[in-house]
Parts: sequence; C-alpha cells; structure tokens
Amino acid sequence: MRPADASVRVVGGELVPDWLGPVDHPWLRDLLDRVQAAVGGTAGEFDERLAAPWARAVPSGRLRMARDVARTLLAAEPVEASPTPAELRAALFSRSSAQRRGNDWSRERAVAETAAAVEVNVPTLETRLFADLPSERRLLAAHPLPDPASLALRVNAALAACLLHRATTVTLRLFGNTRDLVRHLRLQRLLFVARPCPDGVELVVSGPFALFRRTTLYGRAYASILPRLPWCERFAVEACCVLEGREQRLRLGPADPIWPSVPPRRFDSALEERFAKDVARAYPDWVLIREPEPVAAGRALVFPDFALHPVGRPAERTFVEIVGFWTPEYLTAKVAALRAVGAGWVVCVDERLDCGAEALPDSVSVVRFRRRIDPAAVLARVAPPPPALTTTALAAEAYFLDWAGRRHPRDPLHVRLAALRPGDPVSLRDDGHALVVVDGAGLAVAALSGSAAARWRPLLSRVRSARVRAVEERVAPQSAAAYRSALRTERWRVPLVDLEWEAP
Amino acid sequence: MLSWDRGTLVLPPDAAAQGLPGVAWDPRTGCWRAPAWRYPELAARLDAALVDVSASPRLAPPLRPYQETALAAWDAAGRRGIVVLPTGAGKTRTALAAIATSGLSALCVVPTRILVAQWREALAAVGPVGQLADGVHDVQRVTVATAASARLHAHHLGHRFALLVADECHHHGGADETLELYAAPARLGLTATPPEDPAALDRLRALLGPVVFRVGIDELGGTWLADFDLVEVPLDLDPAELAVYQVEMAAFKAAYGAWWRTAVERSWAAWVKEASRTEAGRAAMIAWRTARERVRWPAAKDRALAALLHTHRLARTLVFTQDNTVAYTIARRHLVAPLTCDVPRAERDHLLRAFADGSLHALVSARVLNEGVDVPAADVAVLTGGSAGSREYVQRIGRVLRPSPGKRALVVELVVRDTFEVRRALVNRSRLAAS
Repeated sequence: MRPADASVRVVGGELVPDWLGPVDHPWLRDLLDRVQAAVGGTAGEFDERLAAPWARAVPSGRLRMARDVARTLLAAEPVEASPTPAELRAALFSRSSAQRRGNDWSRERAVAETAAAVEVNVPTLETRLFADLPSERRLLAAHPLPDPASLALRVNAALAACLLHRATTVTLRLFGNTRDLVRHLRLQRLLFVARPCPDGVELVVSGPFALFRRTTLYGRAYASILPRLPWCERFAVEACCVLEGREQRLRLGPADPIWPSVPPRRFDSALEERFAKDVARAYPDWVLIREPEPVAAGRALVFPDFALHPVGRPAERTFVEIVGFWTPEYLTAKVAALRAVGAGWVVCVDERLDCGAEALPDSVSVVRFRRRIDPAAVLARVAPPPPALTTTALAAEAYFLDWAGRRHPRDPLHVRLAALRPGDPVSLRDDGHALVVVDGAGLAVAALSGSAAARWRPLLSRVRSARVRAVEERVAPQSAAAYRSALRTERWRVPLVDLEWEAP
Repeated sequence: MLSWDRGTLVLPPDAAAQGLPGVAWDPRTGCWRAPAWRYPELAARLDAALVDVSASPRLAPPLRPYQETALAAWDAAGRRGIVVLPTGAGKTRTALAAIATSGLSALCVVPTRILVAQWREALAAVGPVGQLADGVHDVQRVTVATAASARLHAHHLGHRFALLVADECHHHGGADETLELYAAPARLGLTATPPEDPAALDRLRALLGPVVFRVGIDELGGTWLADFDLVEVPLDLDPAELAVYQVEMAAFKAAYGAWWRTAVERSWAAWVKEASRTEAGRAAMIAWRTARERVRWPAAKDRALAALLHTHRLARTLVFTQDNTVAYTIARRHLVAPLTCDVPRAERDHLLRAFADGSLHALVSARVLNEGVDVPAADVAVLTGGSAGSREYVQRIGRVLRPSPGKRALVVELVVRDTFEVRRALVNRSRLAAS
C-alpha cells in the first residue's frame, strides 16, 4: 500500500486511522464481487475492473487501500505450454517485420504463416501470445475469498503497516513475551533504548541514521514489528509518523485490528527445549520460567533465557543464560556484568563453541556442556540466598515460669541460670515432654508453657537461632497461690529468649 | 578514530568531536555519530581513514571531445560533481572513463533494474563487475546497484566504495537517503534533465557536488547527436468519440470550475479528495476518466500509426505509449514487439539485439525506454501519448538521437485536436526548447 493511500484523520495532532468497519461491508461486498468476476480473466483486465467508477459512495482513501489488498487475493495461473509465449512472439514479430520491409505486410497472413511454422492453430497463437506476461496472466483465486468483515480486518492491518512505514521513531511498551520482539528488533538492525516500566518494558526504537534527520528509512523495519505485537500479553505502540510533510503521533494498542504473524518459536533451540523438559521431569520441586521479564542493568535491560526457583519461593530465583560462541575473556566479562545486575546467574557454555585458546577461568557460575545441559549441574551452582528470618521475642507468658523454682536451691540448674547473660546463644529442644531452652552446654535452663510449646513444636525445624534477651528474677509470691506449694526455692531466674526463625 | 555503523560514522565518546561537520552526540549509544556522506570532511579534519581509496588506474576508453572536457572538469573539481549530457550523448561511457582513470572502487547506482544489466555490460572493460539487484548479491570492486538495493545494503557496504556514481541523479534530489548512506569521497552524478527546483539542486550539490559540465542537444546536434525533425500530426476523434469526449469533459469542467473558484488549496490532489465526498464530485471524476479514455487510443491514432509504420517500414521505429495496455493493443493489432516492464530480461535483451540487427523494425513501449536504456540506432519515434510530464517527453526524443552518418531523426507526435492533448504538446515543446 502506498503511503498516499493511507486513510487517516488528524485529531488534535494525533493520527486516527480510518479503520474499516461494518459500515464499509456493503461496498467491500461489491469489491469482492469484482474480485470474483476477475477469476479467469487477465491481471490487466482486473486492474481495469478495479479502477472502474463505483456506483455507490466509497471514500477514496478506503477504496484505494482495499483495492491494494484485493489484488493479493488472486494469483496468476502458471503458463506451461509449448511453444512458449516468448517463442511465439519472437517468431511472429520477426515475420511481421520481414513482411513490412518487403512492403508485403498483412496481419492475417503474418499470423497464419507463423502459426503454421510453429505448428499451432491461429486461435491458440492469438490466445497464447502474451499469456506469460504479468498483466496478461490468467488469474486464480489463491484461497477462498474472505467475507467483507475479514477483508476489512486485512485492510486495517495493511493501513497500520502503511502508517508505520512513515514512522521516524517508535516507542513500544510491552508486557510479557517480549523477547521474540526484542530479537526481531536486533535482526532488523534497529537501535533501541530499553527501560523498565511497571509490569513490563519500554523500548524506544529508531535507526542509527534517525539521529540526523527525520527519516522513514526504517519504516519497513518498523512495519515488520506490527504482526509480532499480538504475541506479547499486552502492548502499546506510539509512533512518530511523517504524513504530508508533518510529524504526527500514532497510537496503536491490542484493541486495534492487527493481524498476528505466525506464533514465535517457544524455544530458541532444541537445546533450550530439552533443558526445560529435563528440569520439569527430574526436578518437580523447581520451577523453570522461559524468558522471564527483563532485568534492569544500569540504563539497559538484560533479557535472560530462563529463571529457576524452588516451588513456592519465587524470590529465590536464579537466572540461567545460554551463550553461543565465546572466548574466556568474553565469558569472564559476561559473568561479571551479569553479577553486577544483582541477581544470581548461571551461564551455560557449549565446550564446542570455545573461540579462544586460553583456559576458562574457574567460575562457580559457569556450567560447561556438550550437546545437552545437565540440570543437576545447573542446580548445583544455584546457591539460593539465605531465607529471610523473622525474630520473635518470647514474652514471659510463653514460659513455664515456675519450672526452675521447683528445683532445690543447690540444684546446678541455678548455677547455670546465674551464668547466663543477655546475648548468650541458646536453643530450643523437644525433650519428649516439653520444649525446653538449653544453654551452650546442651543443658536445659528453661521450659516453655504448654500453649507456647504447642505453637512452637511444629516450627522447631524452622528455628535458626536463639539468644538470651534478658534474665528475669522471679520470687515465690509472684506465683499463683494454687501452685506455690510446689515451689522449692524462694528465688530463681528465668531467661527470656529471642528466636530467629524462617517463617513459612 | 572513525568506525562504521549502519550508514553512519561513529567516533568514540572521548573524541573531541564538538564542532566537527555533521557530528552529533548519540545518547542512545553514548557515542558521537555523523552521517556517512560527511566522511571526506571528517577524515580530513581527524586525519583518519575508513574508506579504502587505493587506486589501480586503467586506460580510459576513447572519448568524444565533450566527454573528455566533462571528465577533466570533474577531475578538476576534486572528483565531485554533476555532468549534464543529453540522452544518447554517452553518459555511461563518461562514467566508465571516470572509473577507469581514477582506478577507485566504485558503486554505480542506477534507477531501474533494466539499467543494471546495461551498465554491467558497459563497465566490463574495467574488470569483473558486481551486481546488487534482481536478487543477485555479488559485490566486486566495481558494482552496479539499483537505488533500492543500494539503500538496502548501505548498512554494510556504505564504506566499501571510494567512488559513487549516480546515474539519472535527478532522482536523488528529493527525500531519498541513498547517497547519504555512503561514505565514498569521490562522487559523479549523471543526468540529462537536472531538476528545476532550487532545493533539489542544492541537495544534489551537497551530496554529489556542483554541476561541473553541461551541454545541450542543440550544441551536439548534427555532430555527436543526430539532428531531428519534430512533426505534430493533428488528429480528429470520430464523431461518436468526439461527442462523448465533449459531453464528459463539459460535465467535468463544470464541477471542477465550481470547485476551483472557491477552493483554498488548488491542487489536483485536493480536488480528488473533495470530489470523492459528493455524488456530483464522483460523477465529475467518472466523466473526466471517460473523456481521457476516448483520447488514450482512439481510432484516429490507430489509423495514423498504421500509416506511419507503413511509411517508415525501412526505418527503425520506436512507438511510445501512455501505458502498457495501449502498448499491448498496438502489439496485437500491428504486430509490433512490445518492450515493457513485464517482459523478462532475456527476452528484452533479445528484442534490443533484433532491433539493432534489423530483424525487428519497430518496438512499442510505455515507460521502459524512457530513461537510460541504450536503444541502438532508432530513426523514428512515434509519441502516441504520455502522462509523466516534460521530462519523459525530452527523454523519449533522446532515444532517436544516436548519430550515424547522414542520419536525420524523425519524432512524430500524435495529438488529438480539441482535446487536452493540444495544450500538453505545447507545454512539452516549450520545455524541450528550454532544455
């Protein structure tokens, strides 16, 4: 579609594409009738048919767009005949010239003599004479003709592409499945500046030459982005387009009629696909995410191949990157750059693609492979960061406060209690009857109350450390009257403990 | 210091680049950048080299005196400039001499695919000639490319050639960026019809250099170009055709005149846009189209062409038409070989050879022969109609001006009386006189 054919309005400095809709279906039906009628005729006749005036009102811009799309609905019939049309032409026109020079020209005679010479009859010669030339080729319907609604959508997609052909810069906001598009931008030799935006990434796309002047040099590359956008979960396009010498803004979104390309490949290679399958089969307690969201690295973004984390613990993810051809220097720099991003990385390198002579420096982050990436080797290098710990101060109510008071004053327990100081490490232990606090020597110095024991016994494996916060003095009158008779000393100590534990 | 990046020159971030011609800071990549065509100035200022300008000069082919003068003028201008020569005066040969004597690697940018083969053949004298066109990607020290292919491959070839030759360089006077994407320090533009628009001329001057040599048809006529007679054959529409023409044109003029008197922007595009919005406007456009159809190939033109083909049966005749449809109509009715954009290259070459050796006495074409195609030894041009303006008119006449001993070319223009063709013929002839 030619840019001049783009059907578009300018509203408040913005381009508003004149999308075709149900109101256009009647004349699109007429157009499809013309297409249908052209089947079996020549391409030249079809063009004449399309250019013929219309009885009903049709906006000229929309009609031109639709005509261009309609031309793609028909294909030229192959010409397989002997003698070929080119051979017929050569024979006929040279015979005609010879007759003219001899002042003996007659169209009928030239045709009849040529037909006889090449052993075809005259009607065949006349029909076949130009049958191979594009404008004379007979037309076939390449596929079943679309209905007016489908044709309208195709025209709209062509319109959007046509406008992007006139774009000088394009800003994309992409949410989910962005990697295919980023790869496509690189293949198109476009520059893009990436920055994170909430839930996604923003890419400001342009070409190197766009720095110097408004140019539509990269319009074709911009238009090629269009059919890939629907494969992102969401997207927004903002393009600066030049129409009639003026720059106008164009916005496109998922609600606009953009026909998708074929689905992008789920995996870049069989290698990646096999790795994903191996992890899924052998490590069900791990989650492997293909092409996770990009990670900010200074002013740029890094697009990892995979993210890997234990089930239920997405915060513990490690990124996995598979590199192609490499040298030790390249790899060292790459590992350093990825580490600088701030997350955990494992880089997988194919031993066969080593382009350097030097030995690869030892690195805990690099996994070597040949043909197949071993998930166990990758997981062995995944060092989950220490889990976040919660500190809980066990209040006085959490203790069996009379527990030491029921021991004789000369019981060694009181000596151990007297030696405890705030900050001393202790631990919790289930001795079968109660949860007890034990000191550094492994001897009990306190016991938790029944309710506290019921709470902490199931969490005992999550307790990572315990320290004495304070040591409280208790005296017999503080005990309930009903239990005072069980006391064997008037004064004793209770260590109050802080627990560090891993919350579920 | 200078490096190449997809049609641009890149300087490192720490370069003292401020104030250098064409250089701008690129915040996208954190470096200095300049468009490729500024290479000569930058290379001189930075004392840096990126383009290989090593030369292996060869002997130039024999040149006519005015071609030698043109080449000397181009050389004296620092191998940058535009040479204006009439059609048939040997622009390709002048370019060949420039490539041979400079000995530089060269990219020749031509406007159409048809011209690629012709240029390759002409340049074969300087060694292997590469091609970037028609799906062929063969890069040699001397390469011929269509403008479209040159633009497409500029990102990796823009710094590979020291000399850039732009055939029919008037095409590059607009917004086209092709010449900007190449770093070649030596540049040669060739045209028969330089643009009249001062802005386009300025742009060509910046990208190729000034016009260093110009010669007109009248200066070469009779010696290096054939003299020619221009004959207008006035024709009448048949009464039925004339009646239709007059009715339809009257209907069109009524609507168009009414719009013209009140229109703010008086352009054809504005009229077409406006006309499509109303029933009356659409009817006027249908009338305009119908009227023009009557003039495109009326019976009178058909009869006149038959007579001309008979009269000049011993000459080599080129018939120019408005479009391919008329070309094929003539081919069928008068058995004249069509040479259109549809005809495959091998057959096209065969037709031109047959025309040269006399086994074909005539060719009919719409646009293919307008520009650049080297048509051997044509004596008569019959102009049956056209729609591409005065440049096309001048170029078509140029097709029969290749000189030969005793030759006087004939240009016959078929003009239908009492139609828009009369005014168009007048305008074209005044432009021809001016050229």
